[in-house]
Amino acid sequence: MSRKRDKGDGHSPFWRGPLLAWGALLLLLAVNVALAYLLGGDNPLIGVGIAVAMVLVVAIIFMDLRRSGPINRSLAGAGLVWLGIMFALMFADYLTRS
Amino acid sequence: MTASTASSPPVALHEPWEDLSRQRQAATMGMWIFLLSEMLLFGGLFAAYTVCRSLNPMGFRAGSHEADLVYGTINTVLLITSSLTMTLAVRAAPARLHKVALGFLAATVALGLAFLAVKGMEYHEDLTKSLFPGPGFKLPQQGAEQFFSFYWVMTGLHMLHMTAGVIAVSRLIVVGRRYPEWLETSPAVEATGLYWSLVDVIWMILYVLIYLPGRGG
Repeated sequence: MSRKRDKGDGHSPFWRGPLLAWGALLLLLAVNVALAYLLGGDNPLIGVGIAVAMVLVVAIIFMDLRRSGPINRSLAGAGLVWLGIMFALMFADYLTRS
Repeated sequence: MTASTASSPPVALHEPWEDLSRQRQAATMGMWIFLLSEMLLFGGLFAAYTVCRSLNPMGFRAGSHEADLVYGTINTVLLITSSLTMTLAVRAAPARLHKVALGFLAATVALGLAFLAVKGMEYHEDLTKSLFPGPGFKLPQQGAEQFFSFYWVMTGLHMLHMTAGVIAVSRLIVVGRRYPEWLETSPAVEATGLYWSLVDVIWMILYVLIYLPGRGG
């Protein structure tokens, strides 16, 4: 995270971005619960998709990845890549079993 | 430059770094590497859950239907809000807003403790309803017991992480109250904030896997 953002961007106070992110997260949570009831909660892709959107909001705003250096961004990306490899190999096995 | 003694205030800068900027970079990078290992730890559990759910969809649906959505949703809101207060504390501290930062840290601890209390109430209710896997388990559907095995392991592991987070943030408050300049400069504040947000992120995925399947039907 950058130390230059301490009192905001010079234009906006330091609390504005996190507060907007908090509102967005609550909104996404409400949408997820509503869709689970409307669609029966049997489609995991929708629920997980919205959860991933929430995770991105936290990572970008709360964990300040948007202002992090390339090393930290690379590390966060590496985590996603390794998770992706694990899930891809797992699905390649279980989804192709007869 | 070196570690503080019992009689002197803690210093933010430690060896082998020559300035706080480099030390901060190293601290956040180290924390990200730790978070990577955490992602893979919970990722393995999520992968196992996904396989078992695909093999027993009806059992997992029945199990999830028994999980208390109200407790789960309250806890999600508490955690999201605690991530907000933690982030604001991380940003207020270097801006020399010491009292504001300490207030947000205290709010974070309070919200974390509230999360643990709600989770404890939920666990008590689950045990009362015989939802712990083993003899006398409530649900007859195949796979429902497996669902609750995942439920107890994943939420229990998450609770341990929450407890560690509450302790880490409490330490920031204790040291920061005595030494405001430490709170302003120490990379520990930012690193603890990253950890707290990851605990929040893990819960967001857990919430979808545990509480949402089987709703509306």
